[in-house]
Amino acid sequence: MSDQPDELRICPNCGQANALYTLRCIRCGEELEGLFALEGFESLSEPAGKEPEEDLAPMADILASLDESPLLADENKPEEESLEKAGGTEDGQPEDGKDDPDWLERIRQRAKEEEDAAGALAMGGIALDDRRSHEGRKQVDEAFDEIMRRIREQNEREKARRSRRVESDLVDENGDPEWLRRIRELHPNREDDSQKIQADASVTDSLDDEWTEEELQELLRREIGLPETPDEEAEETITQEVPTPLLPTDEHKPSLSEPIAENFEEEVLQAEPDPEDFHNIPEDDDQTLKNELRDDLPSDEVEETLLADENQTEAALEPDLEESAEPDETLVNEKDGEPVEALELELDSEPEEVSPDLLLLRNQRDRASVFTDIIGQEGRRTIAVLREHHHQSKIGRLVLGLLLILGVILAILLGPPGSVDLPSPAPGMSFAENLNSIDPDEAVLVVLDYQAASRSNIEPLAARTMEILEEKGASLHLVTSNPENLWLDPNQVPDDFIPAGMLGYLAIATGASSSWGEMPIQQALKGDLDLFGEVDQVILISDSAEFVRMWLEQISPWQPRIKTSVITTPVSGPILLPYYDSGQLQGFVAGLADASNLDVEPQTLINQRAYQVGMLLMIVILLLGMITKADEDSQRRAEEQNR
Amino acid sequence: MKQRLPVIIAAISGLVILAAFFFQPFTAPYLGLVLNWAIIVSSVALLVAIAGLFVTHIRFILKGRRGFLYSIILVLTFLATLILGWYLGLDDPAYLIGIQTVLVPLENALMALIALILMSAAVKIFRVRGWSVLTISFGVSALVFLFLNLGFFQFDSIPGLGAIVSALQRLPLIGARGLLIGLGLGALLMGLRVLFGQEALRE
Repeated sequence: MSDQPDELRICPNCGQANALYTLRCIRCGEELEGLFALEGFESLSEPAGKEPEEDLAPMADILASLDESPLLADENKPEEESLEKAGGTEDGQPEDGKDDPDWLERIRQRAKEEEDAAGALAMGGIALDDRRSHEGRKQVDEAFDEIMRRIREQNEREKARRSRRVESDLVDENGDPEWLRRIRELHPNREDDSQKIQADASVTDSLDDEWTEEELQELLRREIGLPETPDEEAEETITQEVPTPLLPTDEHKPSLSEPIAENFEEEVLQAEPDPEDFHNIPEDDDQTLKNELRDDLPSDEVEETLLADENQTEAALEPDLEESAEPDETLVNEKDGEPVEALELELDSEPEEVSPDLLLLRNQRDRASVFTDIIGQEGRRTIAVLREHHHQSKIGRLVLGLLLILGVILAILLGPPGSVDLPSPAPGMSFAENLNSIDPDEAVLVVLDYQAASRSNIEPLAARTMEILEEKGASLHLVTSNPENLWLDPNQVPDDFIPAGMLGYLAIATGASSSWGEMPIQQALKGDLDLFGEVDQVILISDSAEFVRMWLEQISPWQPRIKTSVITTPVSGPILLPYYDSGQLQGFVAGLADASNLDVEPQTLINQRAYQVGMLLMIVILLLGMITKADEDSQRRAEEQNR
Repeated sequence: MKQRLPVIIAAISGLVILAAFFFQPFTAPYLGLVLNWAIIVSSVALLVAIAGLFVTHIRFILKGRRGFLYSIILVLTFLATLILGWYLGLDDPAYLIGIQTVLVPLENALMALIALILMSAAVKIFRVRGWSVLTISFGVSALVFLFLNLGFFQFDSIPGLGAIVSALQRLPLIGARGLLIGLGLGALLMGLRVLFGQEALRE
């Protein structure tokens, strides 16, 4: 399984999929820091077959479970622990998967079959959680504090509600409840209304009379988020274990704190204009909490918070109910002498860490939503793509390369080699004229400096030049500073090897001998120490325009009387044209294209047909590249117009 | 002072070469002396480079570094060339044939690869850089000169076309001249910076 989907984050503003660590959306620039979500607090719904004893967990266990959550895991924590948790069946996981759906079983089975305990299937989700926990550890802490604050607030509200419930049950000798007497004390001038309210209070009393165990169970179920119609077993448990709060005795009457009493009065006063809605059942705290959140938070954050709170309600109610059960426990203990452990067990929701399977499912759901968005955006390019890789391009290159090689091979194997039939350029003609003007008593220095790869382009011309010079009876002296030229052509073995390249030529070209003896460079020469002393012509045989340029700029000024001409490759020819135009070069022949100037025999040349086929293939490939590019551009324009 | 000493030496050497060029009869012996020093130093540097290459690959072999087989080939080839050349001599035909057998195919293959890479780059430049003045002029000029160098046609027989082709064939002269002028100006500027000690020598 690839980790690529884990690296996507959905922008809340525009829905663009971004990289995981992107701080801003690549499309709209929206801050992505707010995408943090408390995954460990989700999916706290109680399994159907959960044992009541497992549900009971104090606040410390909740905190411990939060610390053990993969989201809040320390980065130094061994990864194996998370992977083992992702494995599913070992710690804190129900062994029996009978009630689990098939798809969950398949996921678990696949996770087991992976290489490690968690498997690659779960690694992506766990890695995502680890990264999020690593990056947003501070945010996690803040969110945790916020949740704990909400739990405490809800706990306080629950205490107040239960206190109001107990207070509302207090009646005097006239049968008026305590809250009605308080209202009458606060509104003595509205006796008529009070009478009316009293009449309504009788209805309320009747409601009190109708405050049955079923209603209490329904309220408890609503509070703890159980289904509205629980199974009979759970209902029976609640019915048996939770007695209806009875009238407490005076010594056990809980005292209302002043703010709670004020809140209670305000609620009653708000209920006065609409007596039909008046009842002694407090508002649903969940709805109240949602309203409070809507008032406190921005509108866009409310939905996220509410969604998160729906999943966190069980965890929030757990300590809440645990603490709120204390007065009831006291009452029950005083009245019936029965503990309320069963109640706590029922009210206690699942505090343990979220199952890795559930985390995995959440990750898969997120990925599925990401892929859905991506599929929805198919064909719509949000950002410019610099290059698109196609597999066809590699095949195209291979085909072109094979075509080039095949064409050249066929041209070599089939047919005659052909002949050079190109117009004679001016430098080539000048080179030939200069060569023909050499007198028999002149000395010619031939400098070799070419590589083995260019020998086929140079050596036929060099051999013909040597032949012409020998025919004329000129004295030749071959030198080189390139070690390769010592071995390449057995017919052109250099007489001297000049060390240090152009520096050695320059040292010789200065031509000065010291009074204290020979210089080291002079000791390297075999024959005449004055290499340029009697030389009238220099023929440079080189495939490097740089070497020729250095020679003309560094050596020739020290020997201005020596004429220089060059045998080189077609690549170097254009660079040497300015030197020919300025008269620094007597002429040059550049490759086999100028072979006609020297009357080179065709059999000594390379296959002219292969040369022409290669050139043709290059033209075709270049044209294909241009045409393909033009076609792609036209298709892109057509797509943009259609879009 | 430690950092300025190379700059001072470089500046003095340049001034000596420059003075020797203008006052040749008097300064030529000193110029030859300086050049021979440079030759000795460069030759020793070449020996040091060869020794460094050899020792480095010996170290790779001893450590078993990844790819040390290539190091073994290099060391063996180096030793064989050195010993055979020493024993047989550089003019020995067998030795020359052995060297050519290795050297020529290798360099030819390298040159062919360069030709393919250049061709691929020429095609790719249109995809990478799109249509621009540079790419269009490059493509057109490449096509024109490839076609002219094919040798299929003779344009000299056509009066008007021959003049055009002749003018086109002088375009490389213009480009090369501009290139050489740029090189000359750059070398001049660099020389002046060295002479005036403005060119900091980097380690």
